Amino acid sequence: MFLTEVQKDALTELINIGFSKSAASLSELTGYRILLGIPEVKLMPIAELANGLSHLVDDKIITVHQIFNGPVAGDAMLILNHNDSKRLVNLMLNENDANISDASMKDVLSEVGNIMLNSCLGMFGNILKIRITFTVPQLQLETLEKLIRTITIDNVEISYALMVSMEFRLRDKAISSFLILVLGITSLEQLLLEIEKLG
Amino acid sequence: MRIKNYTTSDSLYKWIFEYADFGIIITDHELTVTDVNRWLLEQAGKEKDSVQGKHLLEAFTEIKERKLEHYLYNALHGASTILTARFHGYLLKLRSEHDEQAGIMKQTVRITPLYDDDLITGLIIHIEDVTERLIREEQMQKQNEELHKLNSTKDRFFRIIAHDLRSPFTALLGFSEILLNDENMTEKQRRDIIKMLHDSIGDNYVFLENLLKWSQLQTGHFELQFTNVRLKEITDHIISIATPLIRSKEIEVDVSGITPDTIIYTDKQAITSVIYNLFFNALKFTPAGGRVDIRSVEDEDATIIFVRDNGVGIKEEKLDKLFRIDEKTVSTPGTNKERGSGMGLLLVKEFVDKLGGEIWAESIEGAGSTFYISIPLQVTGEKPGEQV
Repeated sequence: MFLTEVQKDALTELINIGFSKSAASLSELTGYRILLGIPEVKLMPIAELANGLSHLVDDKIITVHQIFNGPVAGDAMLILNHNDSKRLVNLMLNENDANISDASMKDVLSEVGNIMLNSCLGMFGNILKIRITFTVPQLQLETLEKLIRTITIDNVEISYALMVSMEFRLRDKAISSFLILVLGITSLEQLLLEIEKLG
Repeated sequence: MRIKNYTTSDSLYKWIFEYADFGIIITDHELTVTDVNRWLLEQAGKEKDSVQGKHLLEAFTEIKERKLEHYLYNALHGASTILTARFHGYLLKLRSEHDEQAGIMKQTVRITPLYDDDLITGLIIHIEDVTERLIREEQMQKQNEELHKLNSTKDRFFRIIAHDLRSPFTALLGFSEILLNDENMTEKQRRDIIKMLHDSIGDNYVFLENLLKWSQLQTGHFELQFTNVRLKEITDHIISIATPLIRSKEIEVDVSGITPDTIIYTDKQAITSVIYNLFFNALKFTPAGGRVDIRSVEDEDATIIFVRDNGVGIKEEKLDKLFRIDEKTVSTPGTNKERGSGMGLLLVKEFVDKLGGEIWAESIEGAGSTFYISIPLQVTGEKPGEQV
């Protein structure tokens, strides 16, 4: 399964709209102007996710993970390199990382991830005119390999990963992040069908 | 994983409600509070009757006052949310167990929908007290700032030492070598060199005096003794020391603005150092034939003393950095190539801070500078005595 150019463009545009809302929410929270770059969307079988991400992220990553349910169900994850996550929190709080405890850093990243993921999933829910519910975000510090093992272990259905690369810009600094939506083939087909209808 | 409704007979549910050291509120789908745990009631200072059965936004009016209710409505539509203390402070006005001085408890809040199959039947709100953590982070931040300041002070100290303590010795060694070895020198040439040696030693003496006072301030060995001080005595003393320089540069000095009855309540040694440094700086940067004034005015709660010159002035970008400890520039030579250390203004700033005052400067490049210091009329509760 692959994305046609039309599907890819439509997805990119929709995700961009969702993220623009989250950028506004984040700016309101932090008091800083936060810009999110144009997202780049790729679809790949879950088995290829590790390979697709391996040259983009370090071995040590921070993941904000939310499970979503409803007619379209799956896993949503915001992935940041460990060092980038520290920088992001410092920039958002205007602080030196020496002043912030790991617990506070986890809380802040969880809320930032929650805003990003909610905006994206909420936007999908609106398009599909369905209610998507999602769990409270869980922050995990683990290796890429372990992360992928965690999300594939219970999946019986063939799953695909919708990988969105994007860039935060705040206070003249850029930070790369990756949003991964892991969807079963049924959910993915339904999502793409609805997106095509929009066109 | 979805959270199912527990029934009140569930022992785990009861245990959590009785013993949990975090807050739990459960509402129905209309935000009516169906249960609230003991910990939360204790921290809120509320009775169960005043919360249970009430609408959440009525039981805790602060949610709406702080415009946070949309997070609850979003959760009723399936969007679990985390609210962190760093961004929101708190959701509910609760007392902190950790620090009575901290006021309202800082909270990390998780708002999650409750499901019965696919139907959202209400919310579960979990509140964690993170006050102690944030207090620790704040302390850590203060310590880091203090360490940063100490590090900057140390860097500046070594920079000054490297630049200003070593270089005059080169001149002293050079002049003394000429005196020793040049047998054909005229009497006038000999006297000129001795004069240069004398001036250089004088500059170094002032520098070392300042360095000593500054290091005493840094190590806490300089104790301020507040008394009533007659300002004119100080300015007269400083002018008498500066007379040779004033004469050699033919600078007109006006201290008529300091009247004999101007009395300030301060530390005599510190204020003398402050005015001495500002006055000598003014002389240094004023060309021959220029003018330097020292004046004082009293406003409501402070005496403002200012030293004004019509010398070379200071560039605007440099003016902002004059009193910053982390400023990396070194002193500018005076109009007669007088050397300085950058130590003087550093000491002045330290002393003025210790005296509870403020320092600021105005300048127009090429037209002159004015340095102001304000000394509070009274920094202690004591009445000014007669020890003038």
